Amino acid sequence: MLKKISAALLGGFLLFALPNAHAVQVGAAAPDFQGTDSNGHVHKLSSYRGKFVVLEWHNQGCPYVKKHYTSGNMQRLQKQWTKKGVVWLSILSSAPGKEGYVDGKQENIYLKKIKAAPTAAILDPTGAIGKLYGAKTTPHMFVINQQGKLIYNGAIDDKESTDIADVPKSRNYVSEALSAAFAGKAVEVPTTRPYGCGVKY
Amino acid sequence: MIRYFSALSFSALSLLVFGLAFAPVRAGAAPVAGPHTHLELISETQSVQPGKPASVGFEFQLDEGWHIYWVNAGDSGQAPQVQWTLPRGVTAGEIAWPAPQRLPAPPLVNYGYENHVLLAVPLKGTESLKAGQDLHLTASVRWLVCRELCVPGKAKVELTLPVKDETPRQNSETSPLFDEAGAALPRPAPAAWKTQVEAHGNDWVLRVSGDPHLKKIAKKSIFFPLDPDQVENSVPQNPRELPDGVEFSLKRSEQLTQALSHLRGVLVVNNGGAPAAFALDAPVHVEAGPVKAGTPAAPQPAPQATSKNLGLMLVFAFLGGLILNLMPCVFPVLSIKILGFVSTPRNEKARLPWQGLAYTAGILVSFWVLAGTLIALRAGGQRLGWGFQLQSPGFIAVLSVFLFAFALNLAGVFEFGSSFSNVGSGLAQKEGLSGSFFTGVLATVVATPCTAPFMGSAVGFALSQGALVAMLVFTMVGAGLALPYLILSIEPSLGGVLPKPGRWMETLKELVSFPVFATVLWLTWVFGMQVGMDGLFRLFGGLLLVGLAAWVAGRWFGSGLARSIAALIVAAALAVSLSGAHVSAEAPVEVSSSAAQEGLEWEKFSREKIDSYRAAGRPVFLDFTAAWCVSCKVNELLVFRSSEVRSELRRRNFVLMKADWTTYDPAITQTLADFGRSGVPLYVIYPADRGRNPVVLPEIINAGIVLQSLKDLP
Repeated sequence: MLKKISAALLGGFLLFALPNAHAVQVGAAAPDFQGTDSNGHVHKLSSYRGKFVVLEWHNQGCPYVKKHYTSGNMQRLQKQWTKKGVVWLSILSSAPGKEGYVDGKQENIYLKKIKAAPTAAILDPTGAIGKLYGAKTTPHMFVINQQGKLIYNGAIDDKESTDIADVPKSRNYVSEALSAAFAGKAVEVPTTRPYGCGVKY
Repeated sequence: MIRYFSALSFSALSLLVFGLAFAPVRAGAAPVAGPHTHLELISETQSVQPGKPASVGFEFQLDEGWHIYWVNAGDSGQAPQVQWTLPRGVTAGEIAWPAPQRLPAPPLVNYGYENHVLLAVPLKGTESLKAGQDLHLTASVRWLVCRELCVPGKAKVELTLPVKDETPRQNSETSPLFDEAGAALPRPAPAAWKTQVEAHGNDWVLRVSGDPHLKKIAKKSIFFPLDPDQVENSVPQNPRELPDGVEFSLKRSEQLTQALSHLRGVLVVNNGGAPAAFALDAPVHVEAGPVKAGTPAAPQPAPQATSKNLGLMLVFAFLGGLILNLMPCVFPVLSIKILGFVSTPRNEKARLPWQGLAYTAGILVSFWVLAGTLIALRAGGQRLGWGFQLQSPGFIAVLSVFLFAFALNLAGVFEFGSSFSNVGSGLAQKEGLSGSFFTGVLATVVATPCTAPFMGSAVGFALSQGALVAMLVFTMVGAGLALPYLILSIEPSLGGVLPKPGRWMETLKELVSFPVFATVLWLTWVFGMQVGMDGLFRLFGGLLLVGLAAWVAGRWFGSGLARSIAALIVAAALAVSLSGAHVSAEAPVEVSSSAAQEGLEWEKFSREKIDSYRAAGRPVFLDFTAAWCVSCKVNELLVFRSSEVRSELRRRNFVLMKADWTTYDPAITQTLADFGRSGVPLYVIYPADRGRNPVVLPEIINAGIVLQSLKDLP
């Protein structure tokens, strides 16, 4: 009986201690969305249930994004993880007329030129997906597990800078999250402050 | 970037070559040109004195419309970073960040500086310097300058100052800049100020009080959080005047994953001229209820657990109890009570006050039992609320069996034997005191599914307080419920002229059985909702047995054997009914989750969904309900039948969400608690704008109230 009561007490306490749910909260279900990519194909997040999904907020004009593409860091991550079955979606939430806004054709030329290898580049000129996820910066990274739960939300790495020289020295949170999840372990750093340029909604 | 570097190296070189390092005025040949930026390392004084602190600083001049960032950049961007190269012994302190500006870039908000800013840095360790020496300072600065787009800047700036054994003279050109920057530095908040954050779930209220002057500057104040990821930067702060202070609405950051004990930040007052800034360090107190939705202009302190509120809550509790008499669940009992009153023979009228008191006692005692159980269970970690017993199918089964028997008795199928004559109401006979007491118990039991206006907040308040306060509040509810009858019993003349007892009383008694049958009908429906068809079938079987028992008791009235047989059958009826309650464990039934009702689509309650819908720009109407909550059903009928309400909800693109509390649900219980409630109904409108607080509607709503609330939205 005493055991039961203390268990109930503990349960009640945990229930109180748990942080409140948010739009996108690590540990909770990632909100579903549907978006059209640069080739006109429609992608629905929930259709990727069973696979890991990485969301990468992208703006090709942003110096923080450039750091990761000029250094080849982002392309390397895309290739490394899509090879293991991860779905990598670059999402472009720049509004028309603002930095980083491109149409499908321009995006395809860009992807080819910099040898980027995401599963798809989703065009989100209305910013609906960006706002649904509360994407603040480019790059802002999200990792979703096979059950559709968010397991990482934040910066790409721990070096907030535009300096390419920082890339090799940095701790990549996205790779870390995916490695841990593939190994069936908990993600050590599940939330960080995203750094970069503001998303140009 | 490289270009600026070479330009810089060139100027540094020229300094050395031409020996201009002693130039007494501004450092370097000229400011370093960066992207949309001119940057210069300057000194407040013309020289440095050994052993005395010195002040230097980075002067940023920005192209129009471009900005750099504060120490907390906000949602995006990055504060300038400095790497010093200094002579041995000399150290540079932290940058003294002047008051920033709020720089909105919807939906993001950043903190930073436009046009011009001086980031001053104190130099220490000058005792290691010797007069006649030169102090050579080099700083590598990285910064991000943004307008719509962002450009990183990187430059090396240098400054050489003579070391002199005299009080340094101010540099007439630069010292006004240092004065200006110094005036905009956050100073310690005056000792009289009291700062505090009240956390109501994710909604926080920052309150700075203790100084009537604060009220005047309320509208011109902005709060800047010093650390990132503590509050949502873009949420409007709505500064409000308090009698002796100001309060701000803040929202807990989605990035904040741990409990926060202190919120540090800067209060900036833009009262014409240079902004004044005060450093704040506000302890965070977690509060139970939500922030009361109100007009932002009116100072409306959030509900607080103070003795000031206790009086008001007791009044609410009393009013709630009083109004409870008019709620649909209490009606059957009330009708029985009035009938008993009417049927009291004239020569017995003297006993009436005693019966009134007994009735009151019955109500109060059952409220105490109820409250005591509730408090004890909650203390044991169970998260229960008002009406919790109706979440238990077993309780409903027993109540149905009992009320069915009672209704059959009223309908005249059988009479209780002499030993039982006081149970419920022995109408034809004089009503005993224990009968009155029991009616009070019955009134309480059937009243629990109802929440009357005022009662929700009072009971919610009670359960968030200590046991004593909770008992007090429940006592007031009971007193309110009992009062009308108590007054009638003490002063029967108030009831008007009562007709003489006669045949009509029997007719009336039989008539009153129908509301009780209706209650049984409703209880069985609730039971069906909880356990499903199979369980319901068993309850009906139990009721059938009750009918049989009643018939046996009525057919052989007065026979002790018949009474025993009837009692046995009732026991069997209870067993069968209760077995129905356990069906739920085997086959739980999904309770009306997402269903169309009155042509409206209702979604199942989910906190995440509310947030994501709001993020997607859709407002949400949240209905906390339960099958056993009669007030809820009446409200829903009154409101969602209205075509006006329906079209207004559709026009505003509302998402309708139902939180069904028919059976226990921890998430719903928690959310109710967040709004300071412990029972249904509760109606909440979440505006699409996440910066705005949810609006809580009254417990009893109608189409007009809902329409008005919808129209009040922006």
